[in-house]
Amino acid sequence: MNDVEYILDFVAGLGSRMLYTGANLERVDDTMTRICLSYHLESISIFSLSSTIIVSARSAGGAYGSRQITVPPASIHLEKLNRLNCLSRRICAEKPEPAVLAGLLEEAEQVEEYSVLTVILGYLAAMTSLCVIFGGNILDIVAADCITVALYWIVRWLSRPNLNHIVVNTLCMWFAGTLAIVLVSLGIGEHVFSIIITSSMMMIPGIPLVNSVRNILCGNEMNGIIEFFKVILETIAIVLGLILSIYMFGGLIRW
Amino acid sequence: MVENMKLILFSFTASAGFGIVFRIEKKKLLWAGLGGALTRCAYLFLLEITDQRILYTLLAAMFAALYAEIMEMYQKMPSTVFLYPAIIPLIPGDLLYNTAVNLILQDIPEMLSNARNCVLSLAGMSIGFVIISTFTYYRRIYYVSKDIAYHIMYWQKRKE
Repeated sequence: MNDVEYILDFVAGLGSRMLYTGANLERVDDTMTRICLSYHLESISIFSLSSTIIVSARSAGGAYGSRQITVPPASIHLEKLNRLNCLSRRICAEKPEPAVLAGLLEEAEQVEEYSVLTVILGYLAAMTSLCVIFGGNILDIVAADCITVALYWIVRWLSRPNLNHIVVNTLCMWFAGTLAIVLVSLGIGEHVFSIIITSSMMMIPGIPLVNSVRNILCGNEMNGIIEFFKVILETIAIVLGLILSIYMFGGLIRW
Repeated sequence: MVENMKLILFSFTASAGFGIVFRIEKKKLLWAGLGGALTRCAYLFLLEITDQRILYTLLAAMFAALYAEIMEMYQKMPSTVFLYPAIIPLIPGDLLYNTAVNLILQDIPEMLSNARNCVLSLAGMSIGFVIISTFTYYRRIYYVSKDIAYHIMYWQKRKE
């Protein structure tokens, strides 16, 4: 491989990982452009969507190269994003040999992860707080926390490759709605509204929704529209799951 | 007053909790929680001033985005790290839920009212972020332009 190929491999890999960990599209484009410029590449052309990146450039010696890479559906990991951002700053400042770039990218991804228990505790802290904000009492908090733990494991189990995200959302929200109704009918929780609203906050794609509208308004219309429809479909799936649970088990409690 | 303090405190813990879910570094969780608490403060303050939903969500979202941009400069980290937890208090999950429930109960006027409020909140938030990110975008473009200028000068020198 020549230098331009090493650099483009790195740039495409970095952009893909940044998008995957939750970066904005304009930041990713900006980072890729800066790295290409720091290596004095010419004719830089970058096309990126949230699902794919295409980048091409020409080296000083006249060698052309291009890369196309698919980006998996985003899974927010802000510490990895921070490390990747630091790496891109370092690359622009130090310009290491192109052949070592791949190793640096792998190194940047080695992040200390939270344990499963810590992540569940994070969810519980968030959901307990939201339940109080939505007007829940102690019993509602207990019910919301039970649903949160159950949802965490179900989402983890269902979020396997090849399983449609919309189906996952429908099933999870159906389960959350059903469990909320059953718990309230058993006397664990009083305000089913507060419990279900709290549980739905775990599923509602609020951040992708805001990002999609922002993309549309910032000039990334194609990506924004695709993302917006994806978010709308996911939200409809969540509401559908909820409606199904209320139709099936809503008679167990007084509304 | 007590109710507001309770809301601010729980917004802090909600944002810090989501900070763990979003895998923010332990040392930065305090800043993540603070973003949520301050955004809630701004939101409650704006609620006292105006009852226009789009206006108070827009200004609160601008506040959250500004906080994230300031933290980006102060902590040398992407603004996204601070923005995502900070906007947790603004996400209209309750309105979305109420829209769905009213649809089931076939209370159409109430459903339309909730849907309208939900759309206004989302529009306000998005526009708020766009206004702040437009400023930072042009700031970033300025630095990228400097890089491009340096790049052109490098090539001109090489040719000479």
